[in-house]
Amino acid sequence: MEYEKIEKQNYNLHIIKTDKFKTTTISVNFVDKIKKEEITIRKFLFQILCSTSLKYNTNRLFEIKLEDLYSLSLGHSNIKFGNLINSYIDIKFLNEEYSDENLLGNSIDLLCELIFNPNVKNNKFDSKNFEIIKDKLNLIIESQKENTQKYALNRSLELMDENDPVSYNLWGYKEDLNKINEENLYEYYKKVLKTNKIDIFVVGNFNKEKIISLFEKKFILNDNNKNEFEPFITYKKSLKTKVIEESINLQQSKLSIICKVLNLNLFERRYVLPIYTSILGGNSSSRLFINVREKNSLAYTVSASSKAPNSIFMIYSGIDADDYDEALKLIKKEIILKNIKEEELEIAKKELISAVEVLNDNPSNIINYYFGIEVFKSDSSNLKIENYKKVTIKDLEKLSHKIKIAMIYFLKGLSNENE
Amino acid sequence: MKTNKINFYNELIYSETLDNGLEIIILPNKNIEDTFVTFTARYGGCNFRFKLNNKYMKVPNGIAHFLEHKMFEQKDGMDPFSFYNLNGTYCNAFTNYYNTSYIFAGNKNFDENLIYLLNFVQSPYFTDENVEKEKGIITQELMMYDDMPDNIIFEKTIFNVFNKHPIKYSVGGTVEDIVKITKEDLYNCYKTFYNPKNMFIIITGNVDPSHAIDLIKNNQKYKKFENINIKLEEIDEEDSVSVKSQIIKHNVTIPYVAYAVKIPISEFKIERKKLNLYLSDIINILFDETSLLYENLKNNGLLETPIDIDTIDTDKHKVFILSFKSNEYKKIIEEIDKTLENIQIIKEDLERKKKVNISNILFMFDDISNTNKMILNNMILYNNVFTNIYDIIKDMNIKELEEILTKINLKNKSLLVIEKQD
Repeated sequence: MEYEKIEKQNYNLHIIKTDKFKTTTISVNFVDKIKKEEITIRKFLFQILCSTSLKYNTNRLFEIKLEDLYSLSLGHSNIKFGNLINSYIDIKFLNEEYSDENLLGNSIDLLCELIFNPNVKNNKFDSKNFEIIKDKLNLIIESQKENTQKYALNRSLELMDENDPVSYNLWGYKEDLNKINEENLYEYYKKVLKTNKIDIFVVGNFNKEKIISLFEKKFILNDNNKNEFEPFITYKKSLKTKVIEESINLQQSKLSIICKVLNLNLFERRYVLPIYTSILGGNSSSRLFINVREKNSLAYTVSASSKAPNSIFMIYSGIDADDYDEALKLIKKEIILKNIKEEELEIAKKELISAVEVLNDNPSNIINYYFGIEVFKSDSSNLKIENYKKVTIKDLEKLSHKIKIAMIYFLKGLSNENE
Repeated sequence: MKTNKINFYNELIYSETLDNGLEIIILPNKNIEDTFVTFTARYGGCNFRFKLNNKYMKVPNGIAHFLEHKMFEQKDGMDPFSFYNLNGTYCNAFTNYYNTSYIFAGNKNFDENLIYLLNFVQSPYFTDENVEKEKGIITQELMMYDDMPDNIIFEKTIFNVFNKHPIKYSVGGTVEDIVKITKEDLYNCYKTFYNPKNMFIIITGNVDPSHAIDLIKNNQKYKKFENINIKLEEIDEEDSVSVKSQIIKHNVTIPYVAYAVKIPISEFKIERKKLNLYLSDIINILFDETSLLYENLKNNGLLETPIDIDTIDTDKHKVFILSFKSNEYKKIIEEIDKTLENIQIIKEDLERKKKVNISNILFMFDDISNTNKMILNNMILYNNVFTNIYDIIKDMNIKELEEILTKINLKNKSLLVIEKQD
């Protein structure tokens, strides 16, 4: 596998040449500082860009075009890490030997068409399509409660601190949706192109010179002044634990606990915290899995996961409303890990190291890896593996003293009571 | 060991059936680090009555899934989760209507991992105590699914579409079903269905086929299995649906609707795989995001998100479930009715979908877990890995499709609506 970063005037082109795959993946990433008031309009923008363009001005024409390009797959999403938001558009298409020699050029044409040639006339997005996307987002925002697991997690973060970026709801906000119109959406579009850090990743088996020349010809950004900011969030102190209960008319209750880790240093953030959460609730040998699920049969799902850039980890469990006290007691007992065994440390290390070792098997993982290096100055694979190996029980114990429970949220299911 | 080329896709598939009946299928990919292995019993949530000691017996619904959970108990030594976690290897299992599969995936200790998989799936250890313990965990799992509107709509619809076929019941069973399950039930099912004759292993990823086959052979050589002939009760399922229309209430924002159509397939002479490809292409052309219907519904403000298309296969029927969310669902149902009454498909649409079919398989081959699941589904539904899949798709044509359209019966439908709670 060969990697090369080409710094163009207003964006970076990362080329990863490998013959592992029968497809080529291209990912265009737009990175900015996360702002609560822009979450909804940003979601709107990427939805509309990936649904029509000036040339393919209805969604049907657009979808037919994707199928004509040998079922080119198009995806887009927003993800947040610490202080930043990344909105990306990905395309994946067949290599020439399974399609035709023009597919590479045609696919990049389509990608550029949807980024640079949106369905805009007179500085406004097309109204018809605008309304279709608006209705869709409205429905998505309104139906949040139907996915109770996600809802409980989002709700617990929001109740913890609605001004903390970790709580910003990527599904969007209704009050902001109503403020968006065809004109201000276009203004926002121009702003994104002008101020976001743009990185393009290309993974596949292609002629490198051809890729470079296609992007030089087609991906033209005249003006770009990136916003600079610190991506990681560090907590210096924590307030008292909040305990909040709400109810919902469902059978299963959800318990979500948010822990802040104060004054994380870089080594802890990158290596100690992931190992800590893995031992606590990252796999089927973890403390929570064994004690809450296997020994006490209180839950099917119980897990811990970290959001290292945010200095946070979260514990989630689906339980019976009557078992709340017992489950909470068991979970709280484990949060500050005591008597950590070498074997537990080994299991966590092996899990995390294996993930690094196989990352080249999957184009999205390859892109995430180089994205991490570009945006977070992450370590190389080899260094990651070495550093995971260096983590000791002492490091974990030191980290455990920095943990503060910030939020205990219980979404109580009421259905069983009614029956 | 047999070697077959998968035409067009540049893949080689290796296979062998051992003396005890166990089938091994291997599709190596030396370009990558990881290996993905599934060990499958042809036994799932579809709870047929089966013959044991010359008489038919019926076990509670949800038992295949319960059995899946309990296979992780070991009498001695390390349990599977601990074993694989210590190796830095992923391990899991899942139960569908027709199969239960045990998985491991990882980039090291392949030999040990493979042997362990065979051993743990082939050494059941059920006690009254460990069976009881699992009931609390599975109850929470079922409750989790029972709260998800997407899951409710799918399971209720299948229940309403079928009359006698056991596929009508959910894979996990109900809480009432699983509390009845005993250690004896589990052993009866295990002995009947976890026989090597009724099982297969699929390995995809970084593997040396002949080495893997040798390992499995050596492992199986000294194990004794009863010589069982599995006999399932035959089901005479009618073409009509059990419930034509039903409205239920749940925690939803706007109504969820499922429009299911049960297509009898016994009439068709065409091979099942090809028939299924045609039927799926027809339904996609009519209802997916490239369809005129979806475009019109969206432009008229009736539908905000695409129609979700799901399908279920039984020996005599193919069922398509079109599900969507809308306040104006009555109008949408009318439009679907009209579309099905007067199907218009042009050659250009079929040719485009054929291209999609060919490409989608290629996308699958780029990921070893997807490759594994694709082979697994083909084995379960068709008992075939389809090395000629490219030729099957290439051979599809508008004339054959039109013939299918003249015979197809789309009249048996079942509607389910989930409305908002008052």
